[in-house]
Amino acid sequence: MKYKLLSDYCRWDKYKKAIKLLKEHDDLDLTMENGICFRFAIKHNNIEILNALLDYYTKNKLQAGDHDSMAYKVASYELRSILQNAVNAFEVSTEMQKMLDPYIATTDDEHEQDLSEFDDNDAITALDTDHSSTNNSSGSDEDSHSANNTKLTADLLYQLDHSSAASTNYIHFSPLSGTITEDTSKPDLLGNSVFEEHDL
Amino acid sequence: MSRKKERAEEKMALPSLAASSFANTATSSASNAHVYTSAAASSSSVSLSPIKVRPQLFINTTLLNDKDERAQRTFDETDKYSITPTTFKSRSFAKNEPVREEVQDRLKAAASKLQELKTREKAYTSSVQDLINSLKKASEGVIVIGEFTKPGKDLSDLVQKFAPKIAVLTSYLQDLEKYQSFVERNKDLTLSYQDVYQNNTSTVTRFGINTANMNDEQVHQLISIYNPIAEKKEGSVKSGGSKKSAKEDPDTLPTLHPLEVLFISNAISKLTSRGEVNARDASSSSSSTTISTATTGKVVLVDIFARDDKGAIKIEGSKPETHTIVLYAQQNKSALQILVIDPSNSDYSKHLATNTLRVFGRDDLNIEIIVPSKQHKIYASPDKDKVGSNPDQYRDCIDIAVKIAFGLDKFKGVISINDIMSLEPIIEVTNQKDLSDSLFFDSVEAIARIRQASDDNIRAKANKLLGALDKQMQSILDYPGEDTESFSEEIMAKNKAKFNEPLLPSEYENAVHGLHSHFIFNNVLFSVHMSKVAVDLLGGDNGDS
Repeated sequence: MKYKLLSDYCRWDKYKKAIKLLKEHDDLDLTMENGICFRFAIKHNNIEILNALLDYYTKNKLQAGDHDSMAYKVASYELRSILQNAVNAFEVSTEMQKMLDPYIATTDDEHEQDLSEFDDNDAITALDTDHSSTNNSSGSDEDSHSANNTKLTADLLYQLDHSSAASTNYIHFSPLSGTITEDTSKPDLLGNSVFEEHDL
Repeated sequence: MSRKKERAEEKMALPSLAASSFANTATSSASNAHVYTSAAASSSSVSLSPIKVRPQLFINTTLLNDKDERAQRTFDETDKYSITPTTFKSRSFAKNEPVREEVQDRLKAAASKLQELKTREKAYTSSVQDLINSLKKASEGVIVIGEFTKPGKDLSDLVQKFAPKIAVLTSYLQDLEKYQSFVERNKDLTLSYQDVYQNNTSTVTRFGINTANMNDEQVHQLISIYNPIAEKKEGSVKSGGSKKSAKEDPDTLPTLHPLEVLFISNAISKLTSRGEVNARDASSSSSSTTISTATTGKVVLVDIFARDDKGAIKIEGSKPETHTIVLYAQQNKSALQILVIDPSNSDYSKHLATNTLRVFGRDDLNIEIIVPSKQHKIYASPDKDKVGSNPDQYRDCIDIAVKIAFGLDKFKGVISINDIMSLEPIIEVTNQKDLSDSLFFDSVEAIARIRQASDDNIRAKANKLLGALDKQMQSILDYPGEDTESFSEEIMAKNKAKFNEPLLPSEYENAVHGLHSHFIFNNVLFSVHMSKVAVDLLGGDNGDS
């Protein structure tokens, strides 16, 4: 509910109220609804709100020292997707573009290198942890399939990163079958599955 | 009367009465035998036969019997549409389809244009050499011969400008030949139809691709006709916006299928009203068709094929997947502009702007197909299995395209493609929060079909009340008081619930009044809340001490 309120404040350009809410809560998932808060800030060219959102996301999802973890890389990937999709959808001022560049700009080589550094167990843990409410993995047969996990994850993230779809996709990993598939649902803050939208 | 019962009765009709009603009202356009306006089955009619109200079907001017096999196959398709027959009036199939009849002319025109370009290419090369020789001779003793090397090379290099156009036409010619072979092999296959959608003020035509009657072999033949992204694109390409990402490179966008080319050409013909624009090269064909008199206004709907990432036609079930888009015509200074508006995702149709040479047969016309440079989604369903005509289902792209067309049909002035997503006809129907600054619920929280009602007044009023409720909520949240946030949460939940009520079209009028009453009731609750806050300000002692 607090996230909905935050998205309303962003929609209304209520900077002070948005900041107050962000300060009072440290568990807001800014990737919900395809990062609608970021999209409002970018659409409205609201530098203050965008700055506050980026600070909040960095503080809560992109902690310094965790750069090698899968969780960090997934969080970084999600933010980049959200911001890139917003830039693709709305006109962006030069000032805002400068602010966004550090979060968006990543060459293909850098991205692949990042992904190739994944530890197999990290990949499994991060995926299972982040999407526990929507996958059916039992976790009992991880070892036999772990060899391909890193490459599959890297391939899929790369593929998702280069897809033209506007919405952020999510990953479903099944250790039993050793397969990774795109998931159309994403857990909300309460762990309930929330459907992603489909084009018609 | 219960809602279920009312719905069941609404779906009952008297086909015989509907047919006789059409007999009196069907009219034929002088320029196109496809188009009819017809009265829908009378709502007062009551039938004992449990037949759904459906659009009327015609072959040319003849009403098709509902029991006909083709009618049944068509209904199998149209029953899945989210738009109701209240608005979806009729579908007509032509015996002599333009998408068949015009192939030969198109072939001749393309071949002639290709030959002309090749001839001019040779003439250019020869002329450059002659020119340089003449210049050298004229400047003998004044200009050193070596000084002609660079300008000569620059002029010679310009011949490369011919190559992409020749490649496009060569590829198009090959596709057309395959398409001609396809239509000759499948003489009994009806490839197209025209739908008529109507509300209280507008009539909109849709040029539809008829996939319902295709068998697997025909589907395979049809989609195999062209090579995705076969050649570099050329044409009077113009898109809105200033920044383009790599994925917007015209060279990577799909090529239009010959069937799509014919559909779009016919749709644009419908839109244009002056005889200044030729659809084909006038010098090459005696039957050159001038884009002719408009009969339905400035907006039309047309089907295109859905494409995969590589540009190939997607298959849904066993049929080619189609997608309906809006074409809006406007005269901007000296240019005729065709704006492309995609009801679901603008990326799906942006390749129309890079195929003008195929569509018009030439690219030196003062006509532009314009697509947004930014990616926009106007409407999306959170559950693809929950799309249909029921009050608790989401709308499909045809439905949304029709409602956008109704809105644009009344639009006055020149539209900038960069501003199109802020136009009222788009804002009214979108279920994407980032397109509307008043939309306080997402597509999961409320379906709110009333916002896309066919009736212009209902649509306008529902959205006006949406905006009013949103501003009311802002006022509430701006008000002081410790309990204001929880009070606002209650109001917000009720507001969302109000828009999530499943409503039949026949209930929309009352629902608008219901929304208005709800707004007033919120004011009353807010007033009570304000009084309570005022008391609490001094710790509840009313300040008497």
